[in-house]
Amino acid sequence: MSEITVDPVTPATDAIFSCRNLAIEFGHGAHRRRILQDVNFDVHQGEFLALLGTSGVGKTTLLRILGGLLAPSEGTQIHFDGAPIDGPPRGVIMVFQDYASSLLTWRTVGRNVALGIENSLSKAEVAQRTREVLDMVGLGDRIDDYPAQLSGGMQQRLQLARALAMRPRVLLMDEPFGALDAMTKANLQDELLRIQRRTGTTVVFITHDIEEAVYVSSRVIVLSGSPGRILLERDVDLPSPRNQVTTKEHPEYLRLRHEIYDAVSDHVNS
Amino acid sequence: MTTQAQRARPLGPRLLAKINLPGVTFLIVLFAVWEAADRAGLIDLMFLPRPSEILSAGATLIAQNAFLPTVGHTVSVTLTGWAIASCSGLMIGFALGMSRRVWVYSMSTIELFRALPSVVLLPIAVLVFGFSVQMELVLVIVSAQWPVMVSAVDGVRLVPQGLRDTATTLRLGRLETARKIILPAALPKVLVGLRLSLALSLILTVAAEMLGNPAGMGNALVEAQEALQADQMFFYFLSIGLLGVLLNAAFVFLARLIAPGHHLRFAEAGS
Repeated sequence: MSEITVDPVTPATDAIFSCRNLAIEFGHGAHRRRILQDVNFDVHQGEFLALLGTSGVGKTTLLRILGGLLAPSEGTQIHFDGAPIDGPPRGVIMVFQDYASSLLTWRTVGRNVALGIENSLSKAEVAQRTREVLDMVGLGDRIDDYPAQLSGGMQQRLQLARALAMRPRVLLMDEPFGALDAMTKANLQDELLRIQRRTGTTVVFITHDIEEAVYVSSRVIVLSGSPGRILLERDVDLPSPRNQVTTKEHPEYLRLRHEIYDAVSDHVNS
Repeated sequence: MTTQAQRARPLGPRLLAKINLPGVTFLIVLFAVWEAADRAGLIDLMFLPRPSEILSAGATLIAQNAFLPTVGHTVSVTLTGWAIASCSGLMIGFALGMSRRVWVYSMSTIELFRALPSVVLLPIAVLVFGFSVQMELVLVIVSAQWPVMVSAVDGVRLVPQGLRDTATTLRLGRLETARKIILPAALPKVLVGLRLSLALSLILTVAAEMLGNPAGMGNALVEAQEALQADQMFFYFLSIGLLGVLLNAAFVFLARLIAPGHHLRFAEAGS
């Protein structure tokens, strides 16, 4: 496996997302600070890409750039389906870490799911699609409840269902399970993998948890430093479907976990 | 959740169940102590009537058909002024909250006028409009729109970033975002502002009646005082207080009807 798998100059033509020379700064004047620099990578159709890094390294910033919520610095070449990104790309939906503040508390579960599709689809289609995605995330019987009546894990499932209702090509997930307890987190990891296998959706998944990154993904990119750059990139060749017990005992899982852990701690300590 | 159960019960028992029995009992005991202390000669003030005297003065006023017309006047001015103040306050508030440019240009003007105590407007209103209903209404409208306006501005500006990001990633248009996300998210704050404005409307209506337009409960209270009718004066005094309580209760009741979901909590916290 090579260290850098993309040519830092030419945008890839076969990739969904193609990032070249990605950089971004925040602040003004003396407080201006570069958050990300020289970030080059592609996102390929159908893959499950984990972006791993400590907090503050710019993972969320990077995801918001992909989602069209933030504009990168000049000189960045970032393409979706071969066209430069200007606003949220069609077919790309973000799922936020803070599920509580991204749900509409005054709408029922079903009406939250309908939010993104009720303008473009007929009533019958909205009802049918709502039921379909709620069944997919296991909330089929909570359609008339309000978000406040759901547990944290269920609220995050609801946010996932709302994104799935848009039939996205790419899901951008910002530490979606970071605020959940360990058991709920494990359940949701497996459900997300099952849904991804079933729908073929491409997923870009942010996490600061090395084990989670290796467990869920087909490829891991590690960000590190200030400004953040790509430190390491590894394919994850583990048998699918993954299993919380056997996958985590697999020699390749242990080897990757070890390697990434060493790389991150060496870089932090150096 | 108790909301479903509450909805199933008829209206009468539900309203009764909302009355704070220990609190009301304490108030009645307080009046009883006042009555007893006066009868026992512990209080001896020339213009402090007993509760029983206040009540019988009230009964006489009602029988003479002198009381209800003053209530009608005060209530109609309060509600009309409040309704107009709410509409203009909401419109200006939402415009200020949603457009950065409108906000920047109008902030200084708003800060200046908001800082003026409402009573200062009274002589100006009397001079311009004379002793009339218009004068009462203008005073109420100008003063009561501030809480609504400020709460609408805050409500819009404090919509969580997560909701705005959600609207962006789901590709909602500007109008759709305003209608489906911003306005409903701002509603709890707006309801608080509307409620403060309603209380303020009553205060200003009564003040305008006491010092300006010779009509309504405020004027009746002053007339009773000038005629040294302390029992009637206290009856108006207590009636105005009771009117404030009733207006607030009616508002909370209506707010519960129109605002589903988490907005219910606003009403519960306040009642």
